[in-house]
Amino acid sequence: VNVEVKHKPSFATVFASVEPGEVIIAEADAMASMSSNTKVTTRLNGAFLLALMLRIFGKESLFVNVFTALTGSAEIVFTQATPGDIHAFELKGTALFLQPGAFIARTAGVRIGVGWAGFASWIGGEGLFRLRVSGHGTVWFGAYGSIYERDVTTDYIVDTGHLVGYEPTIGLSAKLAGGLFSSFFSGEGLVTRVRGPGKIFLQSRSMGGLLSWTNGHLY
Amino acid sequence: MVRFSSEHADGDGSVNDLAHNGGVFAPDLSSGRGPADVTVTVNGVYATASTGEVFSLSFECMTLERGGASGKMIFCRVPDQPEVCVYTEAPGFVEALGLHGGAQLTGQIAAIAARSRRGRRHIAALWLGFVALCVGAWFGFSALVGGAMGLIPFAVDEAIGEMASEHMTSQLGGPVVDVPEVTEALEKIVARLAPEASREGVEFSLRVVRSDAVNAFALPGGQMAVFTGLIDASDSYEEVAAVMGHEMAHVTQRHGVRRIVQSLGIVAVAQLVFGDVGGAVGAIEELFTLAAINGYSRDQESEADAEGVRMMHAAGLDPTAAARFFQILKDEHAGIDTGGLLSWMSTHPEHEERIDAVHALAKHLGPAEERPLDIDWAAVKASLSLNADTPGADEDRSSPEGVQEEQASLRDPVKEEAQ
Repeated sequence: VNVEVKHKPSFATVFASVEPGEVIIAEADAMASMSSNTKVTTRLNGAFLLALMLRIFGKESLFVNVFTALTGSAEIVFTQATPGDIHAFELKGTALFLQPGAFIARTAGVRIGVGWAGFASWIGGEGLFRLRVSGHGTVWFGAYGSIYERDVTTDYIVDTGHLVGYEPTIGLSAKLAGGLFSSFFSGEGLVTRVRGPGKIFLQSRSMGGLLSWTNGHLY
Repeated sequence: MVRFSSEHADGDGSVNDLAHNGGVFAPDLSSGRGPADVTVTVNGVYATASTGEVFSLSFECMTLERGGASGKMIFCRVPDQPEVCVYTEAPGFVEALGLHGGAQLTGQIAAIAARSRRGRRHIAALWLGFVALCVGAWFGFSALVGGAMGLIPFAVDEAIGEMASEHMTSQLGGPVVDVPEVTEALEKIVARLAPEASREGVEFSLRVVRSDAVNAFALPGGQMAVFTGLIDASDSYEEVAAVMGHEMAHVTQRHGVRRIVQSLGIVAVAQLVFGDVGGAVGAIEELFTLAAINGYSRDQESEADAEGVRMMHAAGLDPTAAARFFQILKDEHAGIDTGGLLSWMSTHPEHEERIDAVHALAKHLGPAEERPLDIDWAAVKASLSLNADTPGADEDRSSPEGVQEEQASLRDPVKEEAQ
């Protein structure tokens, strides 16, 4: 699969070119346009229970669309609901954890699952559950704002709602941003302490931040 | 996953051939990291990357750290190769280290095991705390609902009752009956019971509905409906009065609105805890709404039973009439299985239990001065069956809301009992 992500970072869009025999699997409603020689089949996002778990806890669609080329090369354009960046990650027998709802598309060799993220993740505002992609191939995930990555060797601090993805070698713990006073009056509150080694992917904006800002202007 | 490797990373032929799935961080690798088979030998830890490179870490001065996303991953580092880190979370790795690592790792392995035990205790404590929080929230929530009810004026009950009335009228199961003998008799009962209600100023209104269901219901605010099946099944007006007292108690105790407030609150709490869980919350919300419409909680039913008996006693009517009515229900419904989800949502206490409770309460209230109502119940029942033969009689006059014609096809089996 030949893929290019264009219009980064604000309105990133995945332009995939699929040859006969190649497969790209995307969450429902991710396709923006495609050439007429594309075949689309819709199926459950895994076994029924897994699909249901992904829907409820992973904020993913119950069904996924499988795109293949009928003849020659077929172009499929994928996008996401929020304005923001889309990142491609190569899996080589490794795994990556993603925040619920971040997954957009994957190649055939990539497996997707949902698992318990733990109380530390929940307290840190990253949710009780997380998506886990593993196997061999490419996964595309999206975020709100631009995506930047950090190679964490020891410790790193991330504010609530900014952590999009991380490798399995990364440990998370929740902590106060500062002392009691500064934590509650600095607007930072609780933060996530990320412990390496490993790579983390962060989004430059948080949906919670946008919602707070919007709510503040409603009245 | 653990598998047997065909040969050793360093080929020294030492005893341990177990390869653990894991990975290695090393600047020599193309992306700085990669999956690897991790083996433990008497000489140290070896990581064979999928690209073929082999990294070896001797036990001397090796540091072990527990962490990663699962909290169970073991990281191995040595000071002379600070940029190389071998990791795995495969089961059996720590045991293999203990077996071959010798005295230099004993302390660290013990510390990891202790931390693991502490971690398990913390998780158990967190779960316990979480469960305690849920239980506390449930009871705290009930108190909160009670407090909130004090702030909601009774006019809200009336408005909700008015709204629900239109919906319910279409689902009553039959046309509104307007036989003067019947309505006058029932109005006499209401007039006798209403002054004994625990809340003053409630305006009870009544309609009789042609239906075989042995049932009556009340909407928040005071609108009541009595099915002709209930009148037919009763042996005396006091049995119907007992059912009406029970329904009036639901109104005065504000059970309907209380259930709505609870349902709204539970959905709000679920969303707070789990975030937007989309379909699941929708389904739960629907279920609760259904439960709120279909019935009251078991506690509310028992409370209405008790309040109904008290009202009957205070009104000079036989307080044990409710028990007689439950006996009729018990006899008539013996062997009927409403089955499945609906029976699960049917929260009425068992007939036997209710009969015992009514007798116990009547005994507790003591003897009452009986003031029978001037109702010829046999004549009332006769007039009802007489009018049933002439369908036009029922439709001659409109119900108070002017809605009477829609035959309901959706009759709820739960409603086959008096609520």
